[in-house]
Amino acid sequence: MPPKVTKRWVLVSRSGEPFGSRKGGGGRGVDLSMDRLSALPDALLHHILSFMKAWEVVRTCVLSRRWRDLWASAPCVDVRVGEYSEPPEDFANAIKRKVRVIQLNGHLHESAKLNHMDFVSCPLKILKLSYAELDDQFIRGLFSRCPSLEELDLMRCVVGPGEIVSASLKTLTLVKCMFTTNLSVDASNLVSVRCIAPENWVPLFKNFGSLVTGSVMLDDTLLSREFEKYQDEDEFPQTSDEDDDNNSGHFKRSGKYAAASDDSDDFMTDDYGYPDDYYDHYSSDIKDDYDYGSDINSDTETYEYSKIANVYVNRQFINNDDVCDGSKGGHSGEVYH
Amino acid sequence: MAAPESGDGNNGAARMVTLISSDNTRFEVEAAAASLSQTLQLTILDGGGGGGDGIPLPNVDSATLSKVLEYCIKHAPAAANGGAPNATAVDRAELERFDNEFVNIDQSVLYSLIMAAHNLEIEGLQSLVAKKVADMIKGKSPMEIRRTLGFPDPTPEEQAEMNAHMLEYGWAYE
Repeated sequence: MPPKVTKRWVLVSRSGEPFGSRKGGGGRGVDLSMDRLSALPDALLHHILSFMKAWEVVRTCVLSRRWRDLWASAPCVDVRVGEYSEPPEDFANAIKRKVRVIQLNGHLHESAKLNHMDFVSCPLKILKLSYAELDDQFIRGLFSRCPSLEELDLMRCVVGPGEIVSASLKTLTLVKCMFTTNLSVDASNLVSVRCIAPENWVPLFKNFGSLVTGSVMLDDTLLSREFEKYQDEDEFPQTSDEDDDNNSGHFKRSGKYAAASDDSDDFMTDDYGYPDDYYDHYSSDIKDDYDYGSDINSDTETYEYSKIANVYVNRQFINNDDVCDGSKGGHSGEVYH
Repeated sequence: MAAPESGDGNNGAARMVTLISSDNTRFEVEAAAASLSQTLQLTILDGGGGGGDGIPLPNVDSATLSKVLEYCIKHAPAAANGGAPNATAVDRAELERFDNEFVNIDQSVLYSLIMAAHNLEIEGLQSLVAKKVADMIKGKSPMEIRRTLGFPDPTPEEQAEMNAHMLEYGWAYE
């Protein structure tokens, strides 16, 4: 059976020079490239856009009407919020458009306030927020209206009182979040948990039946006195730490679970002691995993995926300075004190 | 070469298939490499492409096809290992180095490649090129994006549209 033929492809291939001819002249072939890129089918352009953050995608709208339509129909939105803009509006629009992936980054000095938000039901699968404030209404709405939510990633968020009850959630990441009271988490299908340096309160986990990998890192300088009582009640298995010599005034505890002990170990010993902006890199890129060859549907593979993610995070920390520099004054390069 | 042994995927390693580009160039390649293409895999499993037959690919010219096959041949061993869970770090690093260099090419070739990857359903290649194109656009101002992608400078009309857009989406331009 011959490969399927798309008309566009055929048309384009006749529009000029043969495909792939490596023109040694270094000539720009200006019009040619333009036709070529815009001539690609929507699916391919969406795939390309899926590797970019929302504000980067928005900028492509200046190219032509075609690109504006692409932005409007993108299944994956990565919202970065400026100091003076209206994040809930963008966010609500994204929800209404029934996107499957949302990333929203608030501003370092003024977090995005996602309070009092009404959810419509939405096939949202992955949600990543940083520098955002969530109230109980948001949390309730999120988990009651988004029954497909599999991955929730909160970084430096202020999390209001509430209860996460979800049968779909598989990956939960909480990095440097401030909890105004104890958040309870009851997610029976949770496969992977990371809770890094919570502030004020620690979340309460109720159901670890499906857990494969977990990393918990507590930092006593960031915890209020209230924390003392949780030391005894904490339900994680504890291990003492061997090589805690470089951080006076800090201590670490680790929750280890059978198959994942290597991973959580690596994660903590390798990464602890990085400057704070490390955490900004930590969850700054979701697009590579989006929907194309994603392993998210399989429990066993999700474990593999988390391993890969760890490797990826480390690599990104080393290599990605150029990307962050390009982000034009986003929070990613700044150190939070 | 003997008649193709159909049905048994395990014979793929030694088995060769012939692909014919739109400009009638014939490429002989290991079935395992060609099978990175979901589209071709079906044909090959049915026993096609062996001997003098060849599989015609009317959508892919020879320059693009040779590039596609370069990718497939390099990635075939890892793919045969089922996503290469056993691959050593060295192997992975080598593949990564290859990928980086592989997409370091003219834009027009990139577009031909991603289109071919799409038609032939080679997921890894499609993602690789998509990411590369995204990287070309990322972190640039609107004018830089236009220039990078070879769009002509905007007409006054387009400029007005651009300005209106930038006003509306101020948060994306700060």
